[in-house]
Amino acid sequence: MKNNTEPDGKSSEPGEDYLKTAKDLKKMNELALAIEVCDKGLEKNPNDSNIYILKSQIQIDKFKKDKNPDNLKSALLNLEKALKFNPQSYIARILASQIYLKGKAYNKAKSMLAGILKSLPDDEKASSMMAFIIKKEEEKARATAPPEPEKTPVKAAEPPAPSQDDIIIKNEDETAGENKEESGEAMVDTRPEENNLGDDDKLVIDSDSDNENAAHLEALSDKLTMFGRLEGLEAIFLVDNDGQLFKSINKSGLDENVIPSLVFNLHKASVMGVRRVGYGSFQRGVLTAPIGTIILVNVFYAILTLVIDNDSDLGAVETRIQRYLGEVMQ
Amino acid sequence: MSTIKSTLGILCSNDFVRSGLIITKDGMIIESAIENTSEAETLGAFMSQIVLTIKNSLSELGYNEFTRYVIQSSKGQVFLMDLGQSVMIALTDLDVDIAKVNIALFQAATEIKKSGRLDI
Repeated sequence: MKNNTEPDGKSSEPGEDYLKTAKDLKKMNELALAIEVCDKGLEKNPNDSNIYILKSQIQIDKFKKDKNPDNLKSALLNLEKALKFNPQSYIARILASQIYLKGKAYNKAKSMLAGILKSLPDDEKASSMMAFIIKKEEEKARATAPPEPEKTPVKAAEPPAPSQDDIIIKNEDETAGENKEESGEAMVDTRPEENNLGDDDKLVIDSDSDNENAAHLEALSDKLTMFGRLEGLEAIFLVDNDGQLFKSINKSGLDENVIPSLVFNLHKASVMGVRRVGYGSFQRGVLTAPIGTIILVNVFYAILTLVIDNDSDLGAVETRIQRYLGEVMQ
Repeated sequence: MSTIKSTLGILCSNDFVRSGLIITKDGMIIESAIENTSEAETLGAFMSQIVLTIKNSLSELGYNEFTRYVIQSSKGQVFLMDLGQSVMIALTDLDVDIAKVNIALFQAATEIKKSGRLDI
């Protein structure tokens, strides 16, 4: 989905139109229809990681409804496809980790989470899931170890303990789960990891995070036309809190898989970085790179990203950003 | 190493630059003008994560290097200059003349490049 205009001049439907329709259908719980829309979107835009991610979220919703593990398998396949086109996608990696975790495929979840923590070491979702896995592994080690109570197993380096508010894998009945684990019933599973999908009923996969702020994102998106005639403008991306592209005006046909992920990961790393070094709160990021100057702006519920030509007048861009912020804050 | 040290010293003697350091891509400090070692190490570690994020994404777009990344925060600005194998970081106050900071940074980067100590 690099450009919405075909080489022969015919215009194709942009992926974000399908995304919007499918998201609306998902919200209305019309899951089958939403999947159909995603499939049509993928026919036209077969490399669009955002559609693959949304399709997987719809399949996760289907799984929650009918408890059919095939839906989780399909969701995982779609996330793997999304990661093929966009390996740095945060939301795809988090969702895939959650599915692996639900299927007790701890090693796969661990390697996926390690990838996130490598670039975002303070990420709370990834840290809490990693802590969950380490806890499960310790329980497994205790359950399978010969009865030598004096011996304490060597502890692996542990990420920060998750807070109850932040934990994303919600264990609905922790105590019951622990009792089950202690009896060795849950952990001693000799089936291949892929066949366990949907086994752990206590783990809830978070597939609804995009719905809450849709109205705010719409309002932010409506005002993007203010940048339309900005000199040197190559693209605008409005990226939501999960790193998914909500709206784009892509004049230069920039990669809509990679850039939103770059923006989201860079924003997250910058927010953490300035906070941890005691430099206050993140307000703006300006990256000068061979593809252009990428400006990241904190707006409510989203990251506004402008990609402009490296020779553009940054002062004029700043004025326009201030006007935009003034409008959306009204 | 003395060239890097003196260049960093000159950079930090600039009215606009509060402090600075040069790190490897994995966050090890090559030279620092920050007196507090643990403060410098923390800064180096977190800034290297940012550099890693930028480089990972740019490599998917077919690029190996960036020119610079500037973070504006509520307390000041952080400038990151890509030197290839290493990264120069400069901390400034909020209201600074960006053009002058940029000139100082480019001069420092050029000096360090000239010293031939980039491939550390």
